[in-house]
Amino acid sequence: MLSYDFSKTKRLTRIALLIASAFILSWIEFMVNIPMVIPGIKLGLANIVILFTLCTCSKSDAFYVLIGRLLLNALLFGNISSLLYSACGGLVSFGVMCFAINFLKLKGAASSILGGISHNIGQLMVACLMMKTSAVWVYLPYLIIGGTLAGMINGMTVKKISALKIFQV
Amino acid sequence: MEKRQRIFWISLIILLGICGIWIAVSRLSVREGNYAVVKVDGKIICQLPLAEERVVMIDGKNHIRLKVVVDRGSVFVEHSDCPDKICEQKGRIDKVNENIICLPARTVIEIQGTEVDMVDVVV
Repeated sequence: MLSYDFSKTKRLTRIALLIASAFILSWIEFMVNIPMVIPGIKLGLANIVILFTLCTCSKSDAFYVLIGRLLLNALLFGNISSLLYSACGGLVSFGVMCFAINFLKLKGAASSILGGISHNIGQLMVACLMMKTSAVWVYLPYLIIGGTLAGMINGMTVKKISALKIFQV
Repeated sequence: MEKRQRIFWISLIILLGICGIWIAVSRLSVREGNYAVVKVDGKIICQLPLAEERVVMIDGKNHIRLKVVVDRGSVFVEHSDCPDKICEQKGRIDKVNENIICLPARTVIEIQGTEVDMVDVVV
């Protein structure tokens, strides 16, 4: 009998789908410029997909989705320096969220909030190094509060989506 | 609620409280600035007294030019070549420690109370 292991194909399709949805969310955020207290601050909707993958699939799947999204974003909307900012923020928040879910065993929006805050801190560190100025740290309290709010919204969204069970892994 | 979760939420509330106090303190201790210091890549390019009306073109990194305008005692970026336009959206600044940052051009405009040492000046 002809037999074929479909798990690899399934995984490939799953990751591709998730990258596409993360990319669409980034694109929406890029197109719809919601006015915020601090110019340039964003909700980080793509983190919904990363967190969803982390919760329902695996760490390595989430990592591939993150890398795919970062590269696509840099190719279509940005350049090398914007890739540096988004990659640093994305990787720091990914690491922190992995740690929060797997080691601290935090549930619900908690890991998403930590991810949001650490994303902002990661980007501030790059900004501090690139601009060679400590002036950027003035924004730290605003970004911590912003990261918490965005993390809460994203975390609750992931909870709702996971509860729907439309995406069986 | 699980103990771990409770510790998380309590520390988050404390962190937000600290941020709130930080913002309140920085808002309460505002002083009017006298100079706008323009830095590109960490080096001071020029210092503009806020009392004098002036328009300066700044050559930032990555071939981005910024049109910086000083008038009515405050400074703002009127035009930037970069697509983000975040520095233009920031608007006018005139208080000490306020700043306008353009990440792609690696340019920072900071407000200072007094003139800073001109040791690092390139131009």
